[in-house]
Amino acid sequence: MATIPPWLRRAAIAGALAFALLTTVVGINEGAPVTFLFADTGLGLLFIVAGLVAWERRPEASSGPILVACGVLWFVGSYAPTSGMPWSLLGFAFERYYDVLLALLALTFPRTPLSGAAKVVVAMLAGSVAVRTLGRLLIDPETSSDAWSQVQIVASAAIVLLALAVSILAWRRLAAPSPVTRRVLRPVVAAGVVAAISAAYDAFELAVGLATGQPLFNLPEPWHELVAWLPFVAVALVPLGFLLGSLRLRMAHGAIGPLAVEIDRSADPAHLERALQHALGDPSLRLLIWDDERQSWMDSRRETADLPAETGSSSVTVLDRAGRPIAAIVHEAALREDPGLVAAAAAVLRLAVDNERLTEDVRRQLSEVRESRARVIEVAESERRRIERDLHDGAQQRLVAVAMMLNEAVTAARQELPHSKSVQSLDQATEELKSAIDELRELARGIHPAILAEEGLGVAVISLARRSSVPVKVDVDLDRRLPLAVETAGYYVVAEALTNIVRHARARTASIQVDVREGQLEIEVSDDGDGGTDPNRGSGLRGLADRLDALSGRLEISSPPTGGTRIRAVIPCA
Amino acid sequence: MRVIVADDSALIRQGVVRILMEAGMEVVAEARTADELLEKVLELRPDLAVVDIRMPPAGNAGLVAAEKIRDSPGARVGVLVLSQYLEPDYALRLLGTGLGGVGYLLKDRVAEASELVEAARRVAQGGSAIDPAVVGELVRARRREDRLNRLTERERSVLALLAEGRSNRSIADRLALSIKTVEGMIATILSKLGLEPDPDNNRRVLAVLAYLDTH
Repeated sequence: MATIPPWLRRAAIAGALAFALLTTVVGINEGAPVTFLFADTGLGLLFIVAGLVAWERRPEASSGPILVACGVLWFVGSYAPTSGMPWSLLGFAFERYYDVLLALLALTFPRTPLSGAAKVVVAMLAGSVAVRTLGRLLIDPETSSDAWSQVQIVASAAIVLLALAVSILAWRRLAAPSPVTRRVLRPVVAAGVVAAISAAYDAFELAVGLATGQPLFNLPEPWHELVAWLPFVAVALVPLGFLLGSLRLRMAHGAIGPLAVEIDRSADPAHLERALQHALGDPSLRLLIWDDERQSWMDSRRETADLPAETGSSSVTVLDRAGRPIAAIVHEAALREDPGLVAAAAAVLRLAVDNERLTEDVRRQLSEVRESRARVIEVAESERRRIERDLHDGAQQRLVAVAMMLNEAVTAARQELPHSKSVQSLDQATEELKSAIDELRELARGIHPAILAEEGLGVAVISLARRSSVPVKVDVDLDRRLPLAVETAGYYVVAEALTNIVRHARARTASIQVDVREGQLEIEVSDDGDGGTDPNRGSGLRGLADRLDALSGRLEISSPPTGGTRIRAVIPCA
Repeated sequence: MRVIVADDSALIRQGVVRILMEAGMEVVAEARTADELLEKVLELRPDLAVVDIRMPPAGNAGLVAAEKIRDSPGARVGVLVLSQYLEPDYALRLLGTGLGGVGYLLKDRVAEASELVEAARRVAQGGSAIDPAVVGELVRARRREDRLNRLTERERSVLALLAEGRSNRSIADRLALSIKTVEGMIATILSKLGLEPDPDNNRRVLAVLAYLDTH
């Protein structure tokens, strides 16, 4: 059914209200009793209000227009008891058309198409009412009251049967399998069943009364009066039922707050799915999460799933972000009766899924950055090692060879020209060359100590300790070589700590402990010096902390002003 | 005196060979790799092997080969390691248990023929030769040691030469002292450091170096 444009909707409702006002004014002028005016106008308005609510909420559904039309038809009947012709006649002729619409509502609400049997019943009901209308319009009850009675009896008998058929069909709908459908549908359909039975009784009473000339029951007042009001009440139940159903759905919005709390607790898809099922009152609800990497939907058990197609009983609400899907909720179609509810739940879910995705992104990026940092260090260190080797095997060897040749030249020159100036120059050159070789050796050691590369961290640490002018007690317990980056980092920790001790600590002794525990290299360097080292002061310790961080390790510095400094490094090396 | 020279650099190898031959030694073989060296030593049983610390196949293969030669049974083959590294560790490792017949010299010494030749002779005769720079490295680090500071300047010079593996005679020559004086000074030094006097030169070198290393 095509959606009625908003302006037409507003015009229809305004028209209905104007008609209601006109009817009421006419009723007042005719001197109708206050109770009648009150109940009649109130009931008509109730239909229009319910229609308004339904129409606003679901512009595409037929419930709104049907309810508004019921209200209008109700007010048509209100002209029946007036004395103004021809309105009074038209009022009598068309007064119970709303019954047909109520039957339609009870059988189709919220969006169920009419079954074959229901179509026949509704059509026959409309036909019976139309027959009565035609009878009333064509036959003058004053002149041919028998004919009119015959028509009334036949039409009423048909209406009794058809109304009962409607009540049975509607009753069967109450056994709908899904809880959401039942929750939405029950108040309206139940009211429809009551109204249909009441209409059947009403028609039955009329038919019996006309046929026998006796009332069906001879009730004393006030019972007679009360029974006369019953159909009225039964009809009023329908818009009330509709409003009650809406209210119950509205109340489901209260579950959104707890849903947010629940979703905040864990982003596990199975947990999200359960929270949504609970909040929307739909145990059949399924949650699908879009997996960007696999480019497919995943269900709550994290298995690949297909996005189901919409069916009459189930709907799919897809959440997207900038056109890219992030999640989908497969839920009962009846939840569409309150799109706001699903939208609210979806908004909460979107936050949770977005948040989870962002966290996941940040986490992944962090670990990528950390890995790449570790790789950069590893590459830089092996590059330094290569340079050190090249210096030793290349430049240093050549310089030594040159020194050797130079030495031969000096020896020869000394024999041939013992007092020559050039011998002096050669001697000078030899000294310079020796210094250059010494410096080159120190440079190579600084770039990457060969002893670390060849002998490993333990021997290198002992070598470092030996070079220290502060006596160092060394306790190394390593039974294997560790990855290059780990050994190098550990070496620099010890080197930097010893440098600091010699420079600043005024320590008498120091100690170094190196061992591997539970896949972690642990290094501790402590001294009995002044203490009070500020880890952020020198760039040395700061740089070390960065280097360790890149290897997922950590550096702890404890240096109380009362004395003593303890530097502890832990580096994973599994 | 029969010598094998092992170095993967032809330039250095030939230089060393020239120096040793000029000093009257007989170079019986040259080797370019550690395996080749071990093979030839086994075959030729020379008096001395002069070995580059870094050699193929990998890393400090020369040092490893030198240790093997030192520990091999049979007639004694002296090993003089030429090294690019000023690392006392390697020197101490080579000294082993102090049986002598080993030496650790910085490679730059080949530029001073006399030093190389002297060390080669000492090692070939079963003595020890430790590069003065290596000894200096150990002594420098221990300057704050009380006991070492109790030595006079002269005594410290004697200690350094002692640690290099030089004989009393050689120390006396170096410092222009009489042998008697040197012997007296050595006794004083050892007593000041709390070391037992040991007539065996090699064991004395080890004791002094070990003292410098651990105290």
